Amino acid sequence: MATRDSKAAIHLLADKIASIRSQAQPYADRIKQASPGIVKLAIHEIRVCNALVRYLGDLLVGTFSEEDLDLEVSKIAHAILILARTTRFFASDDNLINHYDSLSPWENLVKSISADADVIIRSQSAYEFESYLEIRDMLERILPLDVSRADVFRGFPKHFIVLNIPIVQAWNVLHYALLAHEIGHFIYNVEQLEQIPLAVVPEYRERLVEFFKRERGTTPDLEAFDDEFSRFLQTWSKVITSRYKELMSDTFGAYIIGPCILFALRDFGLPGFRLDFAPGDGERFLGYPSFRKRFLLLLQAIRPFTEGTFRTETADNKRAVRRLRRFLKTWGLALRQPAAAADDRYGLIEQIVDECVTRALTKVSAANYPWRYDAALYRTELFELYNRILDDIPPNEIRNGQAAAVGTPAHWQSILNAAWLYYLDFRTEKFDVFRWNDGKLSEDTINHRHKSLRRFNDFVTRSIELSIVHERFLKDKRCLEGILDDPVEIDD
Amino acid sequence: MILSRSTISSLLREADPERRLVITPLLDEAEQVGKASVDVRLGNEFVIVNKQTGILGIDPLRRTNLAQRLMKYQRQMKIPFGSPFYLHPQDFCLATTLEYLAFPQTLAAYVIGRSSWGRLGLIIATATMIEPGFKGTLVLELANVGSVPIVLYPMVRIAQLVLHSVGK
Repeated sequence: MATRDSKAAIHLLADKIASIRSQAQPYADRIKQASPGIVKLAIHEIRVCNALVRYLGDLLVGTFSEEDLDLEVSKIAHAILILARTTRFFASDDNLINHYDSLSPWENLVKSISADADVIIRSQSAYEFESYLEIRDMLERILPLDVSRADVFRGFPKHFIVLNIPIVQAWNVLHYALLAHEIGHFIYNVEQLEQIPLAVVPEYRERLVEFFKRERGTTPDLEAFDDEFSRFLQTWSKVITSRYKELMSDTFGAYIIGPCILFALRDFGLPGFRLDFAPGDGERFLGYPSFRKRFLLLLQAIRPFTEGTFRTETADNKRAVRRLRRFLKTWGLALRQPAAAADDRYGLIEQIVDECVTRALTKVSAANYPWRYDAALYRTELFELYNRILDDIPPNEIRNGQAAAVGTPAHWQSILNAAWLYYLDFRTEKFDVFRWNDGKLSEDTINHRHKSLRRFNDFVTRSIELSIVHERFLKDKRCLEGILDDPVEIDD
Repeated sequence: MILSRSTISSLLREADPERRLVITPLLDEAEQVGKASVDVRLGNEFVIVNKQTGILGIDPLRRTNLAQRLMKYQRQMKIPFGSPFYLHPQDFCLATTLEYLAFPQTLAAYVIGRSSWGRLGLIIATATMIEPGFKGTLVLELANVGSVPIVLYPMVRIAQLVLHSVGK
């Protein structure tokens, strides 16, 4: 039976939980301002507190031995510590990204890939995600059977996409390109593409046996279960899957935002940049495909965007189209390399990765993804938006013919691509801030270019916001009812 | 000469970019373009004035560190669309319009408040002239001269532009 002292201890704990819950509430409100994805995590915290309080209530009316009760109380105390740590994390404003509005297209995009998913945009994602996992693991151990885990997690998204964004980074088109790649990882998971290497690697078993023999000096006994060979295969599979995963995420990124995904490979051409990693690069070499391979695959993925005719291909734009095509072609030629030698270990890895990518692309090309950025849309919108930028007008809408004063909102991907095209055209004169450490540019020039770039990025971000607001307005004017009305007239 | 609705409409549709009047996004032309004015909406970026600044005063003639001193005095904030912004009695803030404007060299405009807001005690703008060739969003100086807080939402029709043609 629970003694009076134990009950008092539980009351004390219940008070502590209530106090943590009241501390968590203002954070939840603040977080609500920032992103619905984050709110869910905050609400989750509060739900967990509620579950614990309910459980404490059950304890008070139940019968327990002194020992059992102490055990339960100590478990709950442990849970409280973890919750307190997480709520403290929420308290820090520095950890919330502050330009969430510009990222809102991702919410819809992620929902169109998986309705159960939710986006958490945080700058310290690793920490947050780890603490979430820790809470979840703890809950599995501490929650009593009659409060099921499903109850506690009801309403919680099935997937989290945790995007780690460097807040100081001011390159908005680049931001979007990086995010597209990261969302690509999510699509890779949703599409269960990790199964492909599992099928492809065994097909190369004989070649792998050769390499095993060459390296270890023994032939694996394939009839019996050979531990060493199986470990050897595992290592190969890991390297292949990791490289293939990055390549597929790049491809999905290109499907999402089109040609401006090339911006994600921003290190290209900078001092210290290498097209091909060498084995000496260790983890980077083993886990990542070369930039050469990534670039070539991206060029292949964006080819449909640049083929065909652009809607506003006027004399001026024709030159821009030619420049864009030449740019892509030049890079394609410059990056081409002879096929990897299969008798070299890394050459064989490349071959298997290529095979995996080919199979994956065959699989995904048949799928009609609703989130995919339509290449025809790109060709329709790109130059009208680009011309607006040249005229210092935000590229937020498309005017269907001169007769319309009110245009239709442009797609956010088209806005990004128009901005990217502008960036490509004007980079050298206006925005080139990469080469400051060559010592060729004065500090004043660099500051001036940074300022121009920041102003341009704000201009692009604002255009995306305007197009989103406009689209919402067209879709459902009623949802803005009240807001759009005039203030109530005062009767005379 | 003050421009009428039909002139404004044709300028919005002008094919020549040099002579076109750009107001984007013009969410609802029928509602926003009046007989001799265009309504503009409130944006979601505000600059509010800090109450406790630790500075004695702003002397615009003392240019040294003026920007830094102003940063102490003012704070930028962004309100999500659909969320309220409270402007308290005797408070002052800067706000932008939702619309981006691009004026041809042949047009100028005055920004004036809308009477429905004025009756609640909201003063919309004090520096009201838009020069020919202006490009950008308008900065509005909002002041609540009433005795109760006024709740503002991004996207409300906050002010109106009275457009004039400019002689050669």
